[in-house]
Amino acid sequence: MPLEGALGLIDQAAAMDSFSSVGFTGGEPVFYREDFLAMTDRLALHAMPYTVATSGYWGDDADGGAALADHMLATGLRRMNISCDPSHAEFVTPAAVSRAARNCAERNVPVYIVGTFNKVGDSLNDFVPDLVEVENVFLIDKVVAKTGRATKWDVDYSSIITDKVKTCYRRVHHDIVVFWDGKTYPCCSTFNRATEGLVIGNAFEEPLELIRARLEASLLFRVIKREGFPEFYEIIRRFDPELYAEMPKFESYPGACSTCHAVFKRENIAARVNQVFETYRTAEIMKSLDKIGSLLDDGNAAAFFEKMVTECS
Amino acid sequence: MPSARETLSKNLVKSPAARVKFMNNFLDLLKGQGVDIEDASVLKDLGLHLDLTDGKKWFDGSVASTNIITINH
Repeated sequence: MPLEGALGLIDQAAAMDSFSSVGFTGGEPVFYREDFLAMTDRLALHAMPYTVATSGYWGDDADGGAALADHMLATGLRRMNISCDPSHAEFVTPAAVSRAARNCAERNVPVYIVGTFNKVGDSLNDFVPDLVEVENVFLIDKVVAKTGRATKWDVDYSSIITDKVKTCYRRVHHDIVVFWDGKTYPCCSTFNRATEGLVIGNAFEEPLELIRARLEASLLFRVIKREGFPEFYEIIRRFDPELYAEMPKFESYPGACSTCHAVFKRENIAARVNQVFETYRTAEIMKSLDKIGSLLDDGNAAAFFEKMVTECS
Repeated sequence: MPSARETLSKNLVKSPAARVKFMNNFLDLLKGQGVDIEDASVLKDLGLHLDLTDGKKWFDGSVASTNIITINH
């Protein structure tokens, strides 16, 4: 991502009152050290906290790692996420991860070590035993999703599918994710770039505030965040039974993210789903107008509708 | 001459941008008209999947709690 573009996004986010933090993910954000320092300095100017998702490779450099941790602490790092598992260990040793984690944890920054395994039951407790019970370090085990290199892996999801998650991981608000080309997504799913139908705009072509307004106003996202995929499918079944019959079904996937990916990676299906939810939103808004009419007395109702005409023109 | 409500309804049916503005502004306008927009029964009555009254349900298990912008290289 061009540095000027990234700094512009930080300035925009800081000017809005709805952003609580910025997250750097990769690739490897710390690898582009000068850009990273410039962005974190800009965040400090705005007093906007941030998080970092890293491989922890910089833990190999004892002095440089400590200096980087000092800089991050001084500029507003509020959480460090480090990926560590057999796939990442091909490039970054668990020893480097351990040093990077300790650099942050010793400075009272919470560190989440995330291990993504291809077998249910594999655990970071065995992979990085020296980080077990270290203060401020939290070990989180996950099972790999069918994306990237793992697309062809043989992963058995059967033991976790019974209590699978039905909603987006973020039930309220959004993780607005901007990629290097400005393409903007409503969440930080690992499937993002393979799920074109989820793109909500391009932050290099329109203000972040407009993108956020669209996202907040979306009943599609509100439904899958709050009620979840069973309600999402029920709405589609009611409004477009033919589409419902053609769609990949929730029962066929291990969770909400993989279901979402299966639906929204298909251009034609995604467009029709969006159309259904546009129709649904219009119908629900019309119903809400009736409710508003009965909730307010005549004078207040008239004032409400007049103001809304101005707002919505 | 059409009423304000008729004009609003027409705009909302015609324009996706109007629907976005409605969704983002109507609660504040209702509040301005004296409606208690934190009353669970009011929110339920209004529809639009507005109910957020059981706070623990919505945030339990979340690592972070609100908007994040992520800049990917």
